[in-house]
Amino acid sequence: MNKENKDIGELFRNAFEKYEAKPDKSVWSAVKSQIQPGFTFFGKKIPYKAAIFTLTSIALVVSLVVVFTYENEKEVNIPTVKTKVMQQITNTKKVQNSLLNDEASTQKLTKNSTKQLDIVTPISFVEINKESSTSAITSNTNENSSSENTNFKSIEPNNNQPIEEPKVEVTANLIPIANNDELKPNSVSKNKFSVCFGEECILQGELGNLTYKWSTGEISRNIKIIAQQSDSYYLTFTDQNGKSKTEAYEIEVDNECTTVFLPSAFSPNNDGNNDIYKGEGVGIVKYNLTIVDKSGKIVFESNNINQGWDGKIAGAPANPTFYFYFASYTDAKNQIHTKRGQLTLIR
Amino acid sequence: MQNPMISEEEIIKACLKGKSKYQKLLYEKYSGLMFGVCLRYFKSREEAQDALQDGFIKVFTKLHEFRFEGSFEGWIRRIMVTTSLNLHKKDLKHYYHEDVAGDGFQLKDESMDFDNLQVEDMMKVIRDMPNGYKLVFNLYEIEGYAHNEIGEMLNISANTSKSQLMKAKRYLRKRLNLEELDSHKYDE
Repeated sequence: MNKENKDIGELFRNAFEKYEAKPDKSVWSAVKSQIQPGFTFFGKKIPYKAAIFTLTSIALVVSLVVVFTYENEKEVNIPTVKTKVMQQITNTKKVQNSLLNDEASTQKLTKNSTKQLDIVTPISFVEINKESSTSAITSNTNENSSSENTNFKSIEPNNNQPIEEPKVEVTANLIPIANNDELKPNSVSKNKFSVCFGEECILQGELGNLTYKWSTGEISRNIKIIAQQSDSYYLTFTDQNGKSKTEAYEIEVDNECTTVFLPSAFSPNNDGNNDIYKGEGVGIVKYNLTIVDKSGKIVFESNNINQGWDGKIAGAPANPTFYFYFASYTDAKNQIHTKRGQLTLIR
Repeated sequence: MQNPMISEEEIIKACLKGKSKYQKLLYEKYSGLMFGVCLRYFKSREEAQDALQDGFIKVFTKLHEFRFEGSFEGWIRRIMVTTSLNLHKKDLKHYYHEDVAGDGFQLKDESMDFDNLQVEDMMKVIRDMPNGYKLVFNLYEIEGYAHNEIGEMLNISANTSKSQLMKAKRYLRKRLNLEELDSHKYDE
């Protein structure tokens, strides 16, 4: 065909080759009802629209429940910790005498803990993170990490990028006991707590007309720590009569919870519920979330766990369909984790 | 390692098993493009949606006939085209029986500027065309069928198809102010 004289057919052919138009939603409903005739529920036929509405509501409720369950998990831990502690206290009474001899070792431990305190300060925390992120590159311990490193830019060390301090909104209030007994001198009771890495914990001494002295040097009733490694903290409190007692707070860092939770659905309709799709997790050092559509086009990318997708592509609302997420993150143990899966955009 | 990107073949196979999620996925993947096809065959959006709907029902019910040879898009597009033609079928004889539009059609003042020609304008022009022209032009120029095939599809002769196409193009040129375009074809 002569290109100089443009053919009108060619003109239209080129224009319509990739032309797309959006049909009404009713078309799919009609098609669906034809190809999957009806929904039956306990033998009762449910009209299509009602069923869709129900299913959508169920999906929403489930996704909400999933999110809330996750958020509440940490809080749920507290009552169990409390009961454990109560049991330990009774045990402690029995072994009290033997512990008397351990005072010296306790003091040794106290010194140790004081040294560890430095780590809690933000400056050294940043250093640790830098260190860990760099070594994450060199130590490809994960089977797939070498290939995945190339996929996720965030793994590369970038010192300009502000390293996030893990912030945990759900602060674990670790209250050991409400001890009604009078203080036994020189006894050490142990309280063990399992917390997530990077979680902010408040260790709380028991209430009373007491003076407190922590192994960290603090003299307040409560101290705040950020759990980065399993550690023990000691609180010695003294009552008016000069009797004192030492409590050990053993913080066990649960690496299992160094994980990013990625929901399977979100609904960006500005109703305040699940409007943003983002990962949730604590103690994440490096993070990347990439969301692609079905054709593999990247629709969202973030290196900040607090930043999520608002369900828009270049400012325009994205289609309510499913997408895929790829998340990669490095935890404090230099472990690179990757997660991938499907998410549904609901409107 | 499982590739999270689902291939077309996987989608089709899952649809064959009746998995509704994949049926929807297939619909979502092609509904836009196919609605674009259907729209070209009808003046009203509603009719085009009817064609799209019927077409997709056919796609799903005849999916087992797809042999994974050639492009699936081509297959689905052919279904959309034949479905669209079927909706025209009962009126088809009127389209070519009397030369409704002939040469005497009146052009409105809304002829368009070629430089600013937008695909939406082109769509409007095509949909506004007399049906006889519209079907032949779509089938020949855009879908790429030969005149004898079109003759069979529309139950007209190949020559009628040719002359309808010529008239359709003349109509379009006038409508789009493109008199100079394509004129070499009609010097014969």
